[in-house]
Amino acid sequence: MNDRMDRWLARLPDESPSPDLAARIVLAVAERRRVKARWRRTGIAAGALGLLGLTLMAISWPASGALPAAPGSEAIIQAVSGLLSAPLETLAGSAQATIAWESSLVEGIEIAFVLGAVLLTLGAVGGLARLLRRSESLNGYS
Amino acid sequence: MHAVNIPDDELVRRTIRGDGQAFGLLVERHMAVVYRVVRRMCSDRAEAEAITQEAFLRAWESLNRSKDPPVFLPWVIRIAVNAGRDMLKKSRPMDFADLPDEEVQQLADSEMDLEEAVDEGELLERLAGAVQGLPVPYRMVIALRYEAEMSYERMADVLGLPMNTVRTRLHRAKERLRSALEDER
Repeated sequence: MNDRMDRWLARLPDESPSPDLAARIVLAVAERRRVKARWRRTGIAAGALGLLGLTLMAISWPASGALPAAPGSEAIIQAVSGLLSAPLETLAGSAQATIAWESSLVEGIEIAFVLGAVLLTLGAVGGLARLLRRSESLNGYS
Repeated sequence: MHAVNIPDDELVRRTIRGDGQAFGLLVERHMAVVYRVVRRMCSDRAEAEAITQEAFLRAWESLNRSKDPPVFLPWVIRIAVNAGRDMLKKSRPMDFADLPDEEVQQLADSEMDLEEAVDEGELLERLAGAVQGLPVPYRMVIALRYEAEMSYERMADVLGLPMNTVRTRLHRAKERLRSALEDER
């Protein structure tokens, strides 16, 4: 029975796929290739924009003295203790300092720096989109 | 060399180098057997075609990132089985729930002579229907063994199961088919 069952199973009636299935697969592969090429170009453009933005920012950096300096550990401790002891006054003070910094930023910053920041942001967004797309396409693949 | 005579591994290498036509040849060469394996797994023709297409797309994507060229047919069948399992688990989870314990069991020979009972064409039609009535894991081993003509070792590799489990599954599948045919008599 086993041998006969093997023979029968090897000769089960087959159903052919649609005649255009191979063509559909080849078309789908071509379309995916186009999409991949488009995203590769997006990645290259994002990289170029980011690099250009960084360069512009680096060139104009010395002129932009309005940028805030990184706070030291003492300043952070002071800010935290101030926030804990008198939160409203500390928050109001921070808001005023931020507004004052923004005003000085508008006056002191070069257009090249702003342009650099915009280009860097665009590059980062493009790069992030490409990374997300890539991780999405990697999911579930054997 | 004529395209028909180019071996799979050469076509795979060409695909990795970016030759789209080489992958087209692989599709034409192996699409039918991949489809037949998938078709045994799922009862719907359109679904089988969608899974076959998805398997080849995943294969192409994978080859684009691959450094070691795989042996194409068993590899693409494994992708198809995984793609089919993913899709079927989403749409019909209960199809996977009907498996007994996997202890090894010998299949007893039957005294019944089905060949005498019905003519062969009718018997094969009934058998095909019975295969469609099996749980998906049993249909998978039937498909790999008889449509893709794989060895137990290759089947174990494709399914990611121990060889004894594959052997047991196939025995049980055939036992169920025999019972189904007997019940119909």
